[in-house]
Amino acid sequence: MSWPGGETMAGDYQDDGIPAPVLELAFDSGTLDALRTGVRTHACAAGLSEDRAGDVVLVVHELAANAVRHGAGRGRLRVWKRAGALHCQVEDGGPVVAAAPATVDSWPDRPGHGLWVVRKLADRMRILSGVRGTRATVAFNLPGHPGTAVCWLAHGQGLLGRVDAVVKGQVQQ
Amino acid sequence: MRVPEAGFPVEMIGSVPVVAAPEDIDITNAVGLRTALLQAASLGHGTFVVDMSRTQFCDTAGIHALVAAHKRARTEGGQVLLVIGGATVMRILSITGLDRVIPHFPSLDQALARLPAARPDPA
Repeated sequence: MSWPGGETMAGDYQDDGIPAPVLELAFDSGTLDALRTGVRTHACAAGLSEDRAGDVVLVVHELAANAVRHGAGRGRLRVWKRAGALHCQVEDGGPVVAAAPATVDSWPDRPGHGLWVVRKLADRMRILSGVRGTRATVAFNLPGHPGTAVCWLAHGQGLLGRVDAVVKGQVQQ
Repeated sequence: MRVPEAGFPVEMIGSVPVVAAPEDIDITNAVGLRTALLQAASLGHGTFVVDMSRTQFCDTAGIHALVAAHKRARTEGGQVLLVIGGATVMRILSITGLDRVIPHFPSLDQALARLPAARPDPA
């Protein structure tokens, strides 16, 4: 898998038996608006309501913005519709930014607040980080599949390193 | 009077500065927003309106700038009023709890009605 700038990321999806994503695109600070447009289109196409699609857009944007601002300055997004959920994965080549503790109910007005919003809105969130970078995966239950979102992507693909956070977000009823 | 400010023009209505926010606010232009908010605070002696009626998307970098402006205004005895047009912006205000902290209105007219300084001087 080629990476912008010629680097190679761990985890070859074809070798690991993971199906091709419905959306795959590279992003940097100049293409965040295109990323948001693409995510909205696919979230709506997957059957999510306009409001919930807006949540997906915000979540994926915040993960991508973290990659741009605190990581490698660029990254790659992949989206799958799988197992009753929409799965969005953002990879970058930088370190993970610590999120506020899961027990904090109010929005922390400090660095890491973007991940607080991600955790608040996604049904599932998982962040893997290691020497080669950070891989954040979020899942959103699709209508008719309440509470079934699982991070199936965490299995069967080359892990970058230790698991930093596995957080269950709110479950849509 | 109209002061151009990199995508965030500040217009005076009466003696109230109104910052016109663009369609998208994110990490790529949040610095411009912050600058415009500082400028508006200076022009309005701490009190001003941020007109986000055109805004369709605002990320946490934008929210961060609004929170900073609100805190600064409170310190200076002023206030920040928001005009919110879209459901998406209302959603992030609600998620972050900002909707309970910063006064917000569905239209610019309703926001200005709260500020006596926005009314034209009687002739």
